[in-house]
Amino acid sequence: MDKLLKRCFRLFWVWQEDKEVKWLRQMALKGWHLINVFIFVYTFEKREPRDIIYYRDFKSIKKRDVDEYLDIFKEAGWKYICRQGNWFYFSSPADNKYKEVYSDNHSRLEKYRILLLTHIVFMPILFNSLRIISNRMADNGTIPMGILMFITFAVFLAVIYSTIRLTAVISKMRKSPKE
Amino acid sequence: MNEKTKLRKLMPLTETSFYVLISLLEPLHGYGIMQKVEKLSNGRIIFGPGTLYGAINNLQSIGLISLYGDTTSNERKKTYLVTDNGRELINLEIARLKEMVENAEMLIENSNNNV
Repeated sequence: MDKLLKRCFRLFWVWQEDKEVKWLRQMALKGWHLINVFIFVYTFEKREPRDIIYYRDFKSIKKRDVDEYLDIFKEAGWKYICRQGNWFYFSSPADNKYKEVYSDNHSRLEKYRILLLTHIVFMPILFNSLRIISNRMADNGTIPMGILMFITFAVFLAVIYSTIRLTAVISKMRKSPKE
Repeated sequence: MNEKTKLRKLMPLTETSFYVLISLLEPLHGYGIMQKVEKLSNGRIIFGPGTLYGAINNLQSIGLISLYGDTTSNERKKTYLVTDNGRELINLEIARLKEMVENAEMLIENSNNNV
């Protein structure tokens, strides 16, 4: 019998992890289990409804270290689902003892700090691309060029917005005296 | 700058780093560390995999722990052990923690007597 698949397009910002994993859990409770994520498109497979929790980790990692990283998750009961760039998706039964992937504030903060750094690195790159495209536009404006300009500009704004929100999340976390 | 001053700059260690470090006074792999720390702390500390991976990585990069044994063997799982520097830092931390506990005990006792 063919596997029953379902694809959903959903947009989640980087700081909306909780919202995203909550949605994925609800899908699993209805029998739709996440099997892949590709640029905002989530693919689910129909199986038995189960209470499964999900986690999306951000890890900039060398190729030779990936096995060890995934191994530690596996041993803590987290199944690797897929990877999209530096984003890794995992699932685990809801009653897992190790359901807190980041068990202290310090490491949770570190994850967001690196994420913020990635945003900051991207900003000048995007800004430069915008500058180059707009210079070209001034020389000879074509429709595809206009579309490219529009997309780059939208991404640029999104990165700025995301940076602001992330900074707020981080400063909120920093206020806790808890380690 | 001598070694000891360099080590002092790493203090105080987070609870997570400290427990990973002391558990690696014997060679262990990732999951072994999780189990040992859980046992040592009577179940108080349960490391998440993200936290543990980060701590191992960090401690290794600053040279407090290192890969243990024959890395060319077929043993897939990486095992770690504390380095001499790591051992030294544990001693420094023991002194710091002792001071904290002694001071806290003394002050709370004084304040109890004054009530």
